[in-house]
Amino acid sequence: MIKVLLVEDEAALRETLEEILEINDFEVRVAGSGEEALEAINTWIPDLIVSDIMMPGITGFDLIKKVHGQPKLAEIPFIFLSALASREDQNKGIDAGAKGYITKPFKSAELITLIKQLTETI
Amino acid sequence: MLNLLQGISGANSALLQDIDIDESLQNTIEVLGSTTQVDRCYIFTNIKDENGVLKLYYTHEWCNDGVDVQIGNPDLSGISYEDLPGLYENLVSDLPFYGLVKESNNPLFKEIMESQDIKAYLFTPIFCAGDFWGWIGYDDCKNERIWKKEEVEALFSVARNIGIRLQREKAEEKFIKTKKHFELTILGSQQGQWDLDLINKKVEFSKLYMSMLGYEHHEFEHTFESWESRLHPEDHDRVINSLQEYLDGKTNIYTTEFRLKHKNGNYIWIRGSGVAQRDENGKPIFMVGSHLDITKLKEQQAAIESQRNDYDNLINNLAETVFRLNEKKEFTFLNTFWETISGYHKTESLNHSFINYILPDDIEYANGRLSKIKNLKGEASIFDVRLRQKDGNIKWVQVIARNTANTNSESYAITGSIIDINDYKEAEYREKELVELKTNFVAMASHQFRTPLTVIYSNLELLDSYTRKVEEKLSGKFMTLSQRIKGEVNRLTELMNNILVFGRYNVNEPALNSKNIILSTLVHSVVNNYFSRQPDGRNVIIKGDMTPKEFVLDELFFTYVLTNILSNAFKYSSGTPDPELTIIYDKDAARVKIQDFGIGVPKDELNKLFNSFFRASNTSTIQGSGLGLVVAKQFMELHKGAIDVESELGKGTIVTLTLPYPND
Repeated sequence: MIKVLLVEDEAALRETLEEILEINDFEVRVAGSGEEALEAINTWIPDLIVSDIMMPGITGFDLIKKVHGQPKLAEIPFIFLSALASREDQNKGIDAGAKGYITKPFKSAELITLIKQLTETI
Repeated sequence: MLNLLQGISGANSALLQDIDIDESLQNTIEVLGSTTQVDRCYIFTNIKDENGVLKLYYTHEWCNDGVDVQIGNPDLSGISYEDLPGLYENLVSDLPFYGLVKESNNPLFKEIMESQDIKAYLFTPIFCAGDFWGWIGYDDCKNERIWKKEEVEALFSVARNIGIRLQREKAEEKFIKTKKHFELTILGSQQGQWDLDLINKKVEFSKLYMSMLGYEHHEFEHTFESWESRLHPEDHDRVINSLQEYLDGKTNIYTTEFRLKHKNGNYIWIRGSGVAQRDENGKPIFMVGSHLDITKLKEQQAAIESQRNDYDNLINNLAETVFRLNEKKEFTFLNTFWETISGYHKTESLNHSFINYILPDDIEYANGRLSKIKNLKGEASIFDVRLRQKDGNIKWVQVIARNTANTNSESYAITGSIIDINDYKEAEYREKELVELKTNFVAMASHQFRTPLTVIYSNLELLDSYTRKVEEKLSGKFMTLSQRIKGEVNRLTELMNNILVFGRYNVNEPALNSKNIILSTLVHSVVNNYFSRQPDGRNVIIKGDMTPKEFVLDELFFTYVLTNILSNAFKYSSGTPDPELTIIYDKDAARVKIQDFGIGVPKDELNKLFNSFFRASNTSTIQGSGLGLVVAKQFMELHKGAIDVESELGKGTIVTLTLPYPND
């Protein structure tokens, strides 16, 4: 089962997405912040990370840097979920190393398809 | 000798007679001749001929009884001094010339003298105002008279007196000439003339003078007092003083301007001047003068003055500063408004550089703009700078300055005006702040909407997945409700996106990020990326000229416009044929026509399509924000293009996007 770490500070969205991912047969762990995400990774290495960008404390951009900064985690694909919808923001996300950038609001099918594409080789 | 001295006295009296000069000279030689008991006494006058040769003319003569009269003898007139060597040299040196004819070495002189039976002679020169005028001759025809030195000296003095008399005559001639000149001038220039006899206290005004004042000759009292009484009270003392000073010899020229009362009670302006004739002691005896009516001139001057005052008033009452700068950027002129704008009185700032009054942060900019004016051939340079006022406050002003055309290219001047734009600048700043706040709010709000919208949407999806497990009767109902909610979420999302684009556009107006883009390629990629998988299976039919032509476009903006128009074309044409997109390269511009065959726009609503939040009356069942076309229009205008809509209700709509060619 593909392991997905979901990082989202907004509880309602976090819980909804968690449920959607589980229905779609992913193994999901959730984190309410960047800090929680880093802590989770210490004991559980995901196949893919879906993360919000604008979060208090460690942001999505900080998180991808810290994760990819560790050699054994450098290859974990990131998908950003963001309210920042402009082309520049999308480019920033891709430049930071994300494999996908989905702007809110989105259809869950869009997210599921993307996760599946990025983890095909697994 | 006593006899001689008496004769000389008689001669002097004759000379002082106030009669015609020729008569006076004739009387004088008659006295001299009889007194000296010579046979002939006469005067030779020097006259220069047309070639400038000085010649002798026998002009006056007295003869003793029995002596031949020589006056009228042609041989005695027109003789050149060159033919009589020694004579001229002596006389012109102001020396007497005398002797016996028989002893003369000059053959011509001897011949002339002997032909008149002259035995002895005496010649005394006459000088007039330093010029050798002629001489008096005394001839003895019977005796070989040897002239005594004292006799010669006495007669010599008479010749001097004749010179003085001649000099006075010359001055009088000059005066008459001046008077004649005056008369001519008066005639020519409509001046009134007056004569003032200072000895007899008589004054005479010319006809023109009187008519100038509105009087007939007989109506006018010819007295100095009557003239004086007509002087304007404000001018009286000045004019009388000026005249008195001239008469007293304190001033050399009498000329003054004053007002005189006309018969009608008005005052006319006069420019008066006069010349006095003086006696030997310099005492004025007669004065002649002219009065010129300069009322018109004065009126003109007053008009010019009043125009100048009007101009000054105008300049000073302007609600802006008017200034002139020299090449050092120093003020050479400022109107009074400068004080209002800067706090400095204009006299404080004249000859100081304009730069001194500009806020240090703006000096470099202002200096640059002012220096460039030199190259701007009279075109105005307009720029905004901040002034530092006298009290230390800062004021925004607009400077409008231009090079003053100067024929002397060596130096140039700048003239211009300074307008107070402080309120405008402050309002502009507040406006900018407000717009920024608004946009930030819009951006923030639209971001904040996204997460709850996502939550709503995702939960609907969850609901959908659970609904499938519920019994069919209910699940159908659930799905319908869910779709309705999803539709509204989509509508909210679209609205939010448009507001965001709209808001950003309003703040960063020139946010065009233009690049060279091939129009047909962009059109194809937009159609493929966004419109190739329509739920109803329809497609965009692309037609027209596919020549790859480059345009300067902001890709993002133009993509927004295309997707907006194309999504409308699908949205409002459900169940009709495929929308068509045609690229046309017209001479004046390129056009992209997007045509659908849908519901169209009611005719009376076409002109409202570009109003914010307007939605046509036939679109209530179709989602839309009412902002798409507003933004599209603004983006097209930002590209110097245009957007036009033609539509027929129930038949379809054609939207035409016009784009200028890059070089236009």
